[in-house]
Amino acid sequence: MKADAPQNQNLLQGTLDLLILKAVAPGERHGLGISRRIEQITNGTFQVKPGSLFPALHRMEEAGWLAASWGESENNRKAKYYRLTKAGRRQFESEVENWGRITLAMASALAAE
Amino acid sequence: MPWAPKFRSLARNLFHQARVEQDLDNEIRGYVEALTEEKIRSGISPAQARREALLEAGGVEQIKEQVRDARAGALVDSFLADMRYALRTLSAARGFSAVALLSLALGIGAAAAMFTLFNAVLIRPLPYANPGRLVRITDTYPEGAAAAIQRASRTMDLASFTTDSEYNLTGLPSGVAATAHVAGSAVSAGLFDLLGVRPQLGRVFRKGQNSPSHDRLVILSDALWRGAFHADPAVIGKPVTVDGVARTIVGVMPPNFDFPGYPLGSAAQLWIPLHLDPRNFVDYWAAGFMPLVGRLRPGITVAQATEELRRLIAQAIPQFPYVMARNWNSDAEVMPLRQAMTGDISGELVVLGGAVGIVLLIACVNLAGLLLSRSAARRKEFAVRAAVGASRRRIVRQIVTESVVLAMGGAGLGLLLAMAIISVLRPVLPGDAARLVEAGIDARVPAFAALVALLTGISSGLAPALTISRFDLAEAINAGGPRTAGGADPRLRRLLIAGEVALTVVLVIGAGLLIKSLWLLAQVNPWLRAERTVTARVYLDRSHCANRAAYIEFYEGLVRRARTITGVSDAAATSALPFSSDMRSAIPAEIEGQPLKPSEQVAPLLWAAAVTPDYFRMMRVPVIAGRAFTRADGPQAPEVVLVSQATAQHFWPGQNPLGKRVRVVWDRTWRTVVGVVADVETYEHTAGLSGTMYMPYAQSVGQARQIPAAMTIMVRTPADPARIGGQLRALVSEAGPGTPVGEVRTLEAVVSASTSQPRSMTWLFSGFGGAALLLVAIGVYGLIAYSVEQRRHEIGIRLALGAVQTDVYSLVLKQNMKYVLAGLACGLPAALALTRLMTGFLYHVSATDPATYAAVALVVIVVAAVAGSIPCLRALARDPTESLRVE
Repeated sequence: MKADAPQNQNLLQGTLDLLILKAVAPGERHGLGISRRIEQITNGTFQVKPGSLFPALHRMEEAGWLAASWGESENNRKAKYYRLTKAGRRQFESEVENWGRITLAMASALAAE
Repeated sequence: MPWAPKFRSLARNLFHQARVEQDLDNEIRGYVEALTEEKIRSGISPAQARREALLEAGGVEQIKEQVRDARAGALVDSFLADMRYALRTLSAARGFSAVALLSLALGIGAAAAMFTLFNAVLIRPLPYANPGRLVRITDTYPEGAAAAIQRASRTMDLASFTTDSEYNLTGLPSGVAATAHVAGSAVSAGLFDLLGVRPQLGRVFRKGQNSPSHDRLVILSDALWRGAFHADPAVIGKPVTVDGVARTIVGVMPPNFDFPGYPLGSAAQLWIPLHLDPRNFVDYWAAGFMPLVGRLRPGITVAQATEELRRLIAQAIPQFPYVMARNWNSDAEVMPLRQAMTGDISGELVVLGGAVGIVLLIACVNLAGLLLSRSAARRKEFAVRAAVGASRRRIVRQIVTESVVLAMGGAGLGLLLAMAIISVLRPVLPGDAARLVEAGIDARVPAFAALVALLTGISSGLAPALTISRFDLAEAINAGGPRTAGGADPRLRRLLIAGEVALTVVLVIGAGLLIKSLWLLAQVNPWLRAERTVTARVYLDRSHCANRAAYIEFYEGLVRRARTITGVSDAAATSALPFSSDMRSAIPAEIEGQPLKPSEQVAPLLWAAAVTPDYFRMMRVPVIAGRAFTRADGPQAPEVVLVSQATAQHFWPGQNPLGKRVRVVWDRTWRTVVGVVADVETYEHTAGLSGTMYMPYAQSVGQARQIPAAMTIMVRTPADPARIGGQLRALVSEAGPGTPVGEVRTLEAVVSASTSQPRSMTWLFSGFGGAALLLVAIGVYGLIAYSVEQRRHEIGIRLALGAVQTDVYSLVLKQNMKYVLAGLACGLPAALALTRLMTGFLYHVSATDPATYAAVALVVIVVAAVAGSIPCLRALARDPTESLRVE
């Protein structure tokens, strides 16, 4: 079930961050897990390539939104797991709110005659 | 308290960058493997799955590069944010920042200045080849003995050289002054090969070029070559006249070549071969005693070389044409050149190093105290930041950034301060060592300051960072108000203050002793009126005057004509100006009827000045017994001398010195003492001298059995020294064209230069002592301000209940002054023990001078009491009802 991949290029600034925050909000995940989770919750609209995923993960870790730790993956491999920090959860909440405002504004702007 | 894990986590946060690369690699590789397995599970062959996974991932190295960029961007962002926040909080807490910066600048500045000295003496390599094998031989040796030891030694290659020699250069190329007077050194021909230094032009001396018919050669320094020869590349082979002797230029040394240099002597501008003529046995065995430098042969130890040296010295003693003490130089030693450098100024190094260490320690203690109080006061701020989601790591980094910013600012100020300290430090060091300090200023100094700053910043930031990483958030927020804020243990701060006071007492007592010593030094020679006396050194060429009579005529004529200058009331000439510590005026002498005791190694050294008859009148030196010189004491008259009072007491205690006889060891003539004059204090201060003797110039003898060629003309005048100096120069060039005249100075300037070493030492110490007092004042102020603030509520209650203000004041002050007094009680005995190291720098004052100790104790108590009273009085001035409402 794959949608048009080129859509990826047009991700709004901040969208990827929000999707990552959303993906780890329920619990910690490793890189591939986050990538698959985003694919899943967007019904395959967004496929996040490692070239954009990892820089984003590290940037967010440095910003203090994510915390990382090493753990075992499902098939007993060492993998780096990311989880939300308190600051990350607050960031997530405020971005969700923001996003809501933007989509509402966009919808009403486009609906206007 | 679990300190270790906290420290580890902090260290990992600070230094984790090194592991990031490895982690990143593992992470990406894990991703690709997971992707591969996913594909295998969907039924693709392993090889195919791996290829697809790699393709899909899109270049592992590329991803890593993108991650690195993102990380670096985030790091820089957060670092800049930390910096901005640090600068904002620091500029908000202006008082704290100023005090912390001051503490750091004082500590780092003093440390950087001392490091410059250590760098010059201990770290910078000597500018010679394989300097580790170079050695200095202690004591000095006449040409004959030096040559004998040099020939016989199997353990070392040796070379001798003269120190502090000066030469007149004439026949210079046109365009520059036709004559120059420069420092130089006469050296063994093998010296340059021994040092392993090659000339930049021409060649060095060859073996055999010390013998009388082959020694008409000269080697130039780079500076002299550039200054006097226009850096002429064709200078080799050209003639130049050195002290009237025509010589051929054979080489030019490279710019960094510095010999003799510290600690062997002062830097030379030219080198000529020693003139070694064994047939002239008086000159060969008595004229000049020279130091020796050597290079150990392969496999030879210093101990072996010393053992051989002493044996060779013992063998040389019977060869002297005059009786030499049997134990002459029997304790001579071979020591590595580097060790010789430190040994010479070890006294200064120990005392100044100790003082700087104390200042640095006080500064650190003060800073630690300040930071502890501040972090206690900021607990709530940190707690709030943590509560709103700042990670602990982020807060720690913020605190450390703040203290590193502070420390870097302190280092900048400290470097400026270090430059100022170095300019005061230079005259503290004896003679040529001062030049070294300049050489010690290189890239290592700012690097050292930055390193000290970084260490100070991190370590002083660590204490508050560690305390905040173990507190309970809720408790910290709820505790809130200053009334109950726990924070830093006040007992710890009080102990810190006591320690600071103790250290300060030691330093201030050192400064006090030096100040008293300098003051006493300024009180000597009360009869000497240094102002209104202008001096000029005249370097008459050895060849210019063919015989003694011509020299005598030249200088007597000069003095006579100097008296005719308008505004000059009196004039005289001397070979040895008082207060100039020129050891070339020291001459070994024999006292009639007092043969050398076996315990004495050489004849007593006397400070010998050749003076014109009016010298004593002009210098206002009182004649205590007998008579001064007169015009009748001419070349044909019986030889006479004057001695100083101390000298008379030293050699003829309880006897009448008049009529006693003295002889310069290389001279046949016995000279009769005809008078005793007052002591001129600085002569007596010079170590190793047994007394002072004056000869009339017309009868005088100096080094190398010759009449002194260089004399200092002195005139007494109220007129402008510059004008008089110009007229003196004109007179000299009229009487002897081409004769160089040295710097024209007032006697006052000469006197002041002679005390520059004790003065600089006093300045430095007073500066360090003042800095320590200031730091203690700040520390006490901070401590009491803090404890008053903490007890504001309690003070309010006491006042409201009717306590008298003075009672509360004395209660608070007393409680804290106890620690100041305890510090004082520790500091005084410590000072007693430590100031003993300073004995060598003190004149006329004992290191245990009770008056100084009492005065310093009083000063420290007053400073602490005043600093402590200010916050007390400010607290009491507040309305008690307001204090009660404080929460």
